[in-house]
Amino acid sequence: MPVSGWVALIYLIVFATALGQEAWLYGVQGVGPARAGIFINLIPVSALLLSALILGEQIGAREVAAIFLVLAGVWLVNRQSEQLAAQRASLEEAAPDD
Amino acid sequence: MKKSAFSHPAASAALVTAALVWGGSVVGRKWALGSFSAVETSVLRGTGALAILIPLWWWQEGGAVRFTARDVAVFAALGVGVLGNHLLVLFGLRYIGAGAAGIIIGASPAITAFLSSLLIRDIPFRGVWMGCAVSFAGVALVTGIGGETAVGTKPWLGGILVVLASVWALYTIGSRRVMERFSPLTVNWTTLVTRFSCKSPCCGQTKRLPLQDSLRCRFPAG
Repeated sequence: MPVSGWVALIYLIVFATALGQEAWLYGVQGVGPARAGIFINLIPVSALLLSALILGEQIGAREVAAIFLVLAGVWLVNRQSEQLAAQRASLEEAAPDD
Repeated sequence: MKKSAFSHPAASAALVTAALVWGGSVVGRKWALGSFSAVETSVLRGTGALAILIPLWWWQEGGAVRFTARDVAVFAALGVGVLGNHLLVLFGLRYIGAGAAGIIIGASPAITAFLSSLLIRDIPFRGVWMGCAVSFAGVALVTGIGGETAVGTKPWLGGILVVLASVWALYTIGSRRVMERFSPLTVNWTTLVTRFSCKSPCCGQTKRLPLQDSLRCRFPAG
């Protein structure tokens, strides 16, 4: 049995399953499902980058453009929702107490 | 709704970490399948992760947590939701092009945002729509829109994949609701038990999927 197979299996157990799911749930708890959902789009980006780095697969201009758009989308969601959260907080502060 | 003690930057960092390690799992699965069968990989992965998570949970909070029958049913439903996501992807890919499947599944964040704003009202949809739209454009590009796999032989089955995305959205929303009473660690191992106890008999199908299809469909739970 090659060592690489065991290393891959340990990665799948520790990182992809235990840590990944735990990190996802922490994130969902912290920012909510709506904001968390957009981060799913980072998975093909990281898969592409890691495939290139580890497996030596080629990344073309189309893939680079796609990576840019996905990252821009994640950034936009974060920015918009932070602005909305700040607006909501300032409205709550301005509202008179019952 | 109970507010989380977890800060937004830390939560965002956790989500990026999850996406990175799940992206790496595509490479990891390819390597692991060179040494183990799909069934062996799935079973070892599930039992290995549970061997880490359950002792950790017991050490941290085992004595303090009490489950009712309803809680167990909710955790089982969440686990079945993730499992359903995996199985519907596999089923859908038999009838529809991987590119088209990837694009449809790319709607998952929008479905999550829509259902989340509808069901638990955690954020107004106007806060996420633009980012979703741009991100979907990236997903469409990376999954090969307009290519040879864009349509598939039975496009109506795309509807099944939309349901699939909704299942994942419901898992995300449901887990948030459950985490008002339980920790992420508790939700993690309990849903994992359901997923892997049901998944092993079905996972022989995964060996037939090429890496490209796995990448395009982005199984959310890695």
